[in-house]
Amino acid sequence: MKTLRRIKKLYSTFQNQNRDKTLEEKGNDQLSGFLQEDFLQVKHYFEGASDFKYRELQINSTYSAIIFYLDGLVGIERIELNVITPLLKNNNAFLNNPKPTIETIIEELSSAQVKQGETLQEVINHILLGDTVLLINGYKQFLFISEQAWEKRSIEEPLSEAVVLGPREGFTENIRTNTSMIRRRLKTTKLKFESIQIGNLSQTEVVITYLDGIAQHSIIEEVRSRLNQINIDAIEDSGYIVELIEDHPFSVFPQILQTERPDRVVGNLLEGRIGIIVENSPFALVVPVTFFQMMSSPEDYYGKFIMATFIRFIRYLFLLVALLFPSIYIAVTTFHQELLPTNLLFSVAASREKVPFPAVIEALLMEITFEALREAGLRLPRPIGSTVSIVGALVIGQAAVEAGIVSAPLVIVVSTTGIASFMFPSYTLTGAIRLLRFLMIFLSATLGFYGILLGVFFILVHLVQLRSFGVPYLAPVAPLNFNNLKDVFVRAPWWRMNERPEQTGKRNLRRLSPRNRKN
Amino acid sequence: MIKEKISAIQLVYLMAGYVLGTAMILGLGADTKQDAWIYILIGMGSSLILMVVYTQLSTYYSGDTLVQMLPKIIGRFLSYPVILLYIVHFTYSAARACRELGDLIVTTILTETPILVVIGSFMVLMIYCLLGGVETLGRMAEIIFPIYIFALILIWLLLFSVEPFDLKNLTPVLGNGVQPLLKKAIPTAINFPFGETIVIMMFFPFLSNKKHIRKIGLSALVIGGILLTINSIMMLSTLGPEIYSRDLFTLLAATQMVSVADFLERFDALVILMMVAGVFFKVGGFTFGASVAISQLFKLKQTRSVLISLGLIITPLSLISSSNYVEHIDFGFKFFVPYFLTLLQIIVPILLLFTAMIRKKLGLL
Repeated sequence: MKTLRRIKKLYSTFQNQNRDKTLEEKGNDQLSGFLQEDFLQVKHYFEGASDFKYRELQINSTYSAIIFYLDGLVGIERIELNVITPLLKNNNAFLNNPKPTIETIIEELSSAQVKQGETLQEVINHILLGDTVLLINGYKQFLFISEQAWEKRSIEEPLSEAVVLGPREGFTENIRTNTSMIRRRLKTTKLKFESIQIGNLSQTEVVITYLDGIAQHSIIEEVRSRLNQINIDAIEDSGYIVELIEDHPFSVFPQILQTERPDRVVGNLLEGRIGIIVENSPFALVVPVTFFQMMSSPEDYYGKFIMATFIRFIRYLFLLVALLFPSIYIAVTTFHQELLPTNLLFSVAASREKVPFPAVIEALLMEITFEALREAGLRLPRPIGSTVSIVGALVIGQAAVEAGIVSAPLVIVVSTTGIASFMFPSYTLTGAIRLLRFLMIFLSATLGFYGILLGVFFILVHLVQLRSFGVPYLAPVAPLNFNNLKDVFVRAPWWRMNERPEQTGKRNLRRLSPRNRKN
Repeated sequence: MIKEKISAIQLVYLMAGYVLGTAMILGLGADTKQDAWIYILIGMGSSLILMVVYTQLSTYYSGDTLVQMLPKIIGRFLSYPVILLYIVHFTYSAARACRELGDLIVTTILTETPILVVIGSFMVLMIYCLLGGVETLGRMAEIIFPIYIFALILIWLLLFSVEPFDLKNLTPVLGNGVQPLLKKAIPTAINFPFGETIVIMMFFPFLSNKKHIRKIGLSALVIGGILLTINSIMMLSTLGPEIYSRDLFTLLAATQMVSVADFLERFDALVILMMVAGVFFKVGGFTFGASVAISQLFKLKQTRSVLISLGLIITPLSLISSSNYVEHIDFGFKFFVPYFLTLLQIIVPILLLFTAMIRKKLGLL
């Protein structure tokens, strides 16, 4: 928290130095009502912006007017149809009335969203947001028409959280598309979308979403206040916000769920959690989250519960594998050979005979190479990506073993660990486990099994101290809540999970009628 | 000052784990041979009475730790030396538990590692945990205790597969008569490990719900006692009374005999896990007790510096208190447990309770 405050302070001083004084001072000025004067002022602000466009109009050859817009943000065909044409055609409002009120002019325009404003600041802001602004000579108000239309990616299958069963659509960079995907799943007025702007330069729209009557007020208030404290020049992705509002910024464990899936967000809203959707980011945030949520995939809830329970069991088993397998291998080969059954010990020893390195160096070499391969596979253009994996598999797998640089069992260990680390439904959690694996390798190389145990205890102590927006990270295991264990290591059938999790949903616990309960 | 809370179940787990702690590994009542399990039952039974004394005191002075209630019962000047004795008890007992862990690790799995490294790294972990407060300790107990019990039951099940496993090893029951057994059991069996739960009095004020303190204390003792009894029966059946009384780490010795289908063998890792977990409870409880006692005695506002200095004291203390493990055990069971602990865990609390009762009668509470 201390560093967070320090970062914020740094940003605010940075901010004060660079503030655009002229706009700030003049911004609250009312429009003068003289078209040429206002026009020059607006044009002054957009000097050097080649996408800034304007067009002068003559209404009934008596009134002159100008529309402003930013090219590329505005659906210009619809502006032509709904604004320019009605104004240029013989206009009833202006024909019958020498000076019609601004409201009558609004009625003339056939666009769905036309509103009025008064200050220069508003004019600038609306142009920047992609609205079309209309100034008419002699009026101190201006009109703005919201006909935004910019190029956007279509809804695609989420790449980072693929499922076999269940919906396939993922969030896009467009915030309206994202909110609509949530709204389509919760057709209730209790679903709230609170919008705020963050970023002095980027003016990024951030939407806090929750279900009224289920989410706790204290948590909503906490989210609001943490978001409002952010004073930064630009937000490029929801990842910025994660780092700025996290409870424990120095922990490797993710305390905020980042997800591409609208169904996952909705599932969490229904359990009383709060979603944060950020403009221009396909990753929505969910708070507060627990460790066990990071370990459960949305697919768990779509398939049969028996299968989901089995998969969860495998996932937790491989969590241990991903974290500990290399270090256990090192501990056994370096310190505790007697723990292996004799036959297995012989074959391990035989394959290690030619290897010139101690087990820990061998393991570190392989683990780091594996991490490099993984990173290279991500960065490379897709057609070359497969080449890397083939070369990597050959070089690391076969050639290194044949050359006697590494032993065959270690290749098995490293590849199993690699596969295990791809099993977690949360990409950020994978990162934490990968990092901690190296810590465990060092501990086991110095203190053997005892070191591994100490390491695991350290991680546990760290985990029980973590909190995500006031909710203990290891809930409901520590502190224990028997009722909520239905959705932790096992996935109880839906007809038995008739209550929301206690920590976040205690305002309205019941979610399923007890009549649906079988047996 | 007291903000952090611990729940009833957390305290039960913590205290049960604390009772099991080192006692599980060491083989209690070694010199009573095949009657060791009765020895444990006697210890548990009598310590239940002690627990009633402790909880009664805490009910009289609810919201106070042992250190806070002492001045109220026997006056400020008399209480200082007593409190100091308790601080010595908690600190030294923590050091003893550390030493037992260190010796187990160094004699079994890490034969060439300096014991200082083993104990030092453990204390770093312990202090890191305690700096998180009683809440962290409670939640750790909540996570580790079920794993501990799981490992224990797994080991018991595996012991059935051991060839010489035979319940007849327990006979003759009370072969040497009741008298010698009682002599050995009282007060040693009461004091170690059951009487050590006096540290629970340092935890009561941190409870979120103080209604059931007696239930909490008694159930922790009963859980710990029953598990220890079953364990000693299993050990005796596997090893026989002779080895049981001679081996220093009986659980480890028994576990090393396990071999299922010539493949599942050597479950030493489980024993090491249980040892580390058990000592974690034990040292955690003692160090926490000592830190609260010191900060309350000297009216310090924070325990951070106390904890760090305790860590720096306990580590060397565990090493210099005795030159080898046999001396350590000898000193423990010849002087420390029978005399020092009897004074602090049996005599003083009972006297305190009488004084408190008299004060209550006189309306001076």
